[in-house]
Amino acid sequence: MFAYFAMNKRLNKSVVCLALLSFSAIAIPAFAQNLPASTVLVPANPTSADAIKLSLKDTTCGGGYVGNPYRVNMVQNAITVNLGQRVLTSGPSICPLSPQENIALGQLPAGNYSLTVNYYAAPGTGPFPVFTNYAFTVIDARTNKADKYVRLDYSGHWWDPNDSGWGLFIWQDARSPTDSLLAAWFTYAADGKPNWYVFQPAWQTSTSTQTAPLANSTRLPGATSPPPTAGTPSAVGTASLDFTNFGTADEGKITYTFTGGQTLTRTIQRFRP
Amino acid sequence: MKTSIRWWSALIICGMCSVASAQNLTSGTALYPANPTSADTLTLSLGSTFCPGYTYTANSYSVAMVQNAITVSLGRPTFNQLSLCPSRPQEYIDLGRLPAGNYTLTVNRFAEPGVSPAALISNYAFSVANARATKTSPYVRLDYSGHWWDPNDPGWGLFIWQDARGPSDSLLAAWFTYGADGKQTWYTFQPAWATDLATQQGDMYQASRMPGPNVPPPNPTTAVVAGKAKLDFTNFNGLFEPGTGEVGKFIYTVGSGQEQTRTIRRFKP
Repeated sequence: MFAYFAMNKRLNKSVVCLALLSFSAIAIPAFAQNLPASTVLVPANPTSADAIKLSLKDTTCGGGYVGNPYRVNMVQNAITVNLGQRVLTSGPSICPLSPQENIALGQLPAGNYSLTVNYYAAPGTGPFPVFTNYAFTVIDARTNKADKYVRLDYSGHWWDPNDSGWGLFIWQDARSPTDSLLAAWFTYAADGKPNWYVFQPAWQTSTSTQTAPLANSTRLPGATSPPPTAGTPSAVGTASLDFTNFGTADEGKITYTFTGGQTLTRTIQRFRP
Repeated sequence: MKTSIRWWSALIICGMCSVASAQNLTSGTALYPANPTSADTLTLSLGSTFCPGYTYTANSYSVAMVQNAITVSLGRPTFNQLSLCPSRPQEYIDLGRLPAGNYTLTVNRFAEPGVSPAALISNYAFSVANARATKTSPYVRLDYSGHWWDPNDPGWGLFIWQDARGPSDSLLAAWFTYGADGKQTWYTFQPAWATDLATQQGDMYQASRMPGPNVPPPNPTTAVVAGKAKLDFTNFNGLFEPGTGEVGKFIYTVGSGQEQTRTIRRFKP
């Protein structure tokens, strides 16, 4: 009876301790952690215009992933990365100097987030965290936007699906206040040979640009790579972009005029295979 | 005209008074793509509620997220004297590229400080599927799409388009550079991935097309193999070296020339 009582007392104590611990866990939120050594968030201070990446130290150098190396999901602004299953391979025994795994976390709206990374856990086991609850903030990139307050990022490859063989690459600095543009147009010259032009128009409205010089560049090759000869740009016309009727098909227009020629307008769509 | 302004003002005020409680998107409003994955950039196309004659004074919207609940706050509209609407007035809002999960979306009209905003859309629920669930070997980790260049040698560049939504992350690369005659030329190549960080060597094509009397010209495009090229992002971990970031290599051979390797970096002004 005494033994039973003593054992029960110990059990009761354990239950009380466990309950207190549980209570502590509820009362005190999980501590925000720093990132482990050699692990970085890129960029370190992200905005809502940035594609955020996690560069994670490869802790099992010499091994390889059996399948998908990682998955990412988010619940209540808490991002969880689950690493894939790793196996040791019979590859070289020397690791690369800086073995890293790069993980795409996405482009997030402004807000406060936490990040947890877990090692692979077999079904019914784990989680086995690499680190937990790293807190970071995404700043609203739109707060520093200036007139014309461009709505979207039009960066990417654009083409005319009814006339393949040429294309337009647009690079837009969606992180900047003015959403500055660089467009490279891959097309053909009057002699049928491939030719490319660049233009950097400023925005005229929130969905269309001003007309800008269309530049052609030449550069003679040299004996070394890169050649020491500087490129020589020359204006060969003008061009502008218009996304006013962007619609459901991600549609725009390029309007261009070669010096002395007529003005032409081509419909472009975002390239999707 | 005065009557018209009064009518529209009344409509706007009325719209601002009624708090929408529907969990569906309003008419003329859509989320693109309708079934997004974690590789998609989500765009909200919002039927304009201010037409005719209203525009935004300044920033047209801001987006924030708390506990997977996205809130879009529209900017302040003002009357701009225009009497005609576009045929389908829309506002486009960038919601980002979200990790897999369940989200809600609320869009609020502009409200003065201290005034509760009226909801245009309230708690519209949607899910983002995990694009990585369908990935196949060699399981490419990142999306390398964008403009790449050598900052020490400006004047040429490489545009990469990667189908991060697809299982195999197929690539299309366009290299704008110069020919032996010093004139500008461009090549394209579409290499398959050899590892998760480097591609196989693929044929590099040069295309030509004679112009015609119409736009587009009726003449077919002729592509010829002009060399070989591949991409290597094995030392992309320049991510780790502050300020250097996102480094790759472009390895190519034009014609019967010797193989060249150029270091490329993601273009950032």
